Amino acid sequence: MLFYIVRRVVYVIPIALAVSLVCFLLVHIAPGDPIDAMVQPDTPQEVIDRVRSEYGLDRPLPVQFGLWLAKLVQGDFGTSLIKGRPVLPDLVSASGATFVLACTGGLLGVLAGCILGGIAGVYRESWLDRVLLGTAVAGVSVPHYWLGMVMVIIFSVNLNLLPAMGSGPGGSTAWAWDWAHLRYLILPSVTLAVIPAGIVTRTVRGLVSDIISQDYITTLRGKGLRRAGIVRHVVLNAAPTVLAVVGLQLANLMGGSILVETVFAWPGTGMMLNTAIFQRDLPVLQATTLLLALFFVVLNLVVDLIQTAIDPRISRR
Amino acid sequence: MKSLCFGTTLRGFAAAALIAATALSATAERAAAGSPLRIASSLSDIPNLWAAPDGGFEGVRFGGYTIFDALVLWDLSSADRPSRLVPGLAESWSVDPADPKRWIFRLREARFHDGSPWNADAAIWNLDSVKNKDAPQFHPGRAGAAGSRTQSIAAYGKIDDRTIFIETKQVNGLLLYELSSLFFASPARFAEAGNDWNAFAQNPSGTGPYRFVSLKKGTELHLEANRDYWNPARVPKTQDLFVLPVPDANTRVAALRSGQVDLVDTLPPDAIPSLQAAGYTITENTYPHTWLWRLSFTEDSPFADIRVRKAANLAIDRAAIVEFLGGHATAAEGFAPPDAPWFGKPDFKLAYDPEAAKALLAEAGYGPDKPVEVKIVISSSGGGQMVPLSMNEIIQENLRAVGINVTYDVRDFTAMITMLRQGAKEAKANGINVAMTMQEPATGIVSYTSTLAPPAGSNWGFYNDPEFDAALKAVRAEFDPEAQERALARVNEALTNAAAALLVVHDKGPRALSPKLKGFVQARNWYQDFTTIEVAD
Repeated sequence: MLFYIVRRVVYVIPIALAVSLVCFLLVHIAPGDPIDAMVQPDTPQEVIDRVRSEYGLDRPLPVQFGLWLAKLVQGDFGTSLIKGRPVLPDLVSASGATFVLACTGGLLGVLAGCILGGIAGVYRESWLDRVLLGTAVAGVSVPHYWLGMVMVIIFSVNLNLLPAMGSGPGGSTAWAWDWAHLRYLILPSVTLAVIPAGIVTRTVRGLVSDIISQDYITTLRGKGLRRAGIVRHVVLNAAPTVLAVVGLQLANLMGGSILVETVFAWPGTGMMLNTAIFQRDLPVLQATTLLLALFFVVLNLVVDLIQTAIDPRISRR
Repeated sequence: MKSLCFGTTLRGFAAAALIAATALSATAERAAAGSPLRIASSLSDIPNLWAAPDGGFEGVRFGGYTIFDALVLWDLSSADRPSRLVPGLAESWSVDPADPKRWIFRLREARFHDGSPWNADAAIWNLDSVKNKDAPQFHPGRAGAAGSRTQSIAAYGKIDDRTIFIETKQVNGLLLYELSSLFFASPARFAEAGNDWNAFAQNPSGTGPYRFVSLKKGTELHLEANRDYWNPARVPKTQDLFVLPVPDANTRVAALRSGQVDLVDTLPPDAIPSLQAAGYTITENTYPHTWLWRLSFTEDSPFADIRVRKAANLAIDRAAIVEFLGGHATAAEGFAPPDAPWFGKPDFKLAYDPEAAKALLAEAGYGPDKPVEVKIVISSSGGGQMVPLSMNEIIQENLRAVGINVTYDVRDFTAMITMLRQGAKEAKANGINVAMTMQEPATGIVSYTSTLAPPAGSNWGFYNDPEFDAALKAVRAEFDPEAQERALARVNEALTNAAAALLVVHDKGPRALSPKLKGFVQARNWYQDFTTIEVAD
């Protein structure tokens, strides 16, 4: 098991390198010059050339990538071209905000998905199944942006119950698990939960309906096992697949839903990435995408390990 | 039935608890904050607070004129007359009669927020920070951000404690406009910050009407009134000012309607009727902004022919576009807005006359069998671009009706700005839809100077008109403000008569204010003065 974990962790290095290289090339290939976002439109060419040279953006791409990588291994994520400050503290702060939002949204989505999918699976082909499946399809199909705005109109503008934007009272960026902060979390996390809820509902529904039609469940019923015991068997058999889906969904959410964070002015990685894209802030773009890619890799590893722990057949393979 | 009742009771209790808790926490927040002024800006982050803000004009509005001052400031006190330059950190200035490239600035008595004095040493230290690469306070990013403000400066120096001189490379009567957004930071605070501009930006000190209180990256800038401001008339009437970056327009409106902010900058026009119906105050005014297509004058471009340019301008139904914008724009009559002091009397009238347009096209050799084919670079959004996709669709229909077929090349705004620098030949397009500012009158129109064709400058379309060049040279040679405005009017006339762009509308910059705000005057300017605003409890 230890060897398996070490091997997977070592795999992270080439993946991270490949991701960094692809991100680096993509942001350089995309049209648009970062210097244009830094200076006023009527800035003379000589000033632009000087700034470009001072930031090393006039060097060949392989040299730029090598220098960036060399700094990265020393823990230096670079300095924002636009803000002129180190990227890492901003990235840590934004990741924290997104982590709170993604975990809450993910948890809500997974809980709702498991409960609704379980019910739909048990009562498959009934009217209840159709209603729940329809709800799940609607959940996956509804655009985040639209749903977020509708919820803001209902709960913030019309009912004045919850704040329309922000992540805490008085522009607070330091998260705390108190009501003053939680009220800011409700609308964005519910908005964010809808898609994973829909996906998990459909997955769980399919798995449960498949598992409960298996012979061994009939046998367990025949042997007089009580409902709780059967549910336990269904849950354990469905868990590995559900976990894989949940892991991917969580990683997606952690990637920061650009739209949800923008609609609710939530200061997370999604908003940071969005701003960096429009400003061509290369160091911020590179650092953010690398971190998110690493998060995907780590989350997949965690999911694999949990799957292995739950289902011994996986480790035997 | 019993369980249903229980469920209903439980839901009722939960709802009541939610409402009570929400009300309690909201009351606690309000009590702690007093009656501040909270403004939602369309920026995605707080601008850099190091006296050289990013974020274009909006960045300067919130991260420049609040904390810092320039040698020369804009008079933003009137909504009825165009804004003009007034003394700022320089109480007076003059041009050396023996050398028109040498300006003498007499500095006023003032102090930075940290108590250190504003004087000639501080002024020179600041100029070094953006001009002198060997100065310890030089920072390439800041210098780049301030580059367009300092490009014409050749030399500067101290004459005495209260006097400095600035020499320009050429005779430049427009220097004061350029200096109006070159801000001055406290050298003492920079030293306190360990000679680090990033640390300075976390606790900035200027001489402006607001002092820095706190900064929450990406979410909030808190400023307070500077009661010792050198201009008593501009001491803020509201003690606390909060600036919140809210890039999404609908979210800004929702934040206003839910009471999280009091003033919304950059308002989407379609939100205005419902806000007005709900009792919010809408302010708007013309300002030096022109929504246009910059055209290509290269040999292979149909717009090289003035008849085609005039035809295109006569084909646009500006009244329909203004109506589409809810009336929150002014139809263009020239490069400058019609109420600008340098509008002049252009001969070419921008009427909506499709028949005249067709006649001009026929004269130029085009017709139903041979329509004009042009490709235009446009953006899907961007600062000053208003509602670019819909507006360009209307224009496309208008032009098609007279025989000009338009193909659009849609880019994101930053990519389009890069294309603006590269020029029409590189972009392989006949026009580019980047709105123009005439805030500092030469900022936008200077790009029509023949010597600034790419790669030397931003003359995107390779425009070459000796009459325009001469008119602009005359502006730079003029130092008397009124005579300079008359000279600028000749520039507007030259460009408008040559139909040097497809001129469409001028934005009115609508803003929405909570009914509890009083005293805001929306100046005819990209910048605004928030010090006059009072917030009722």
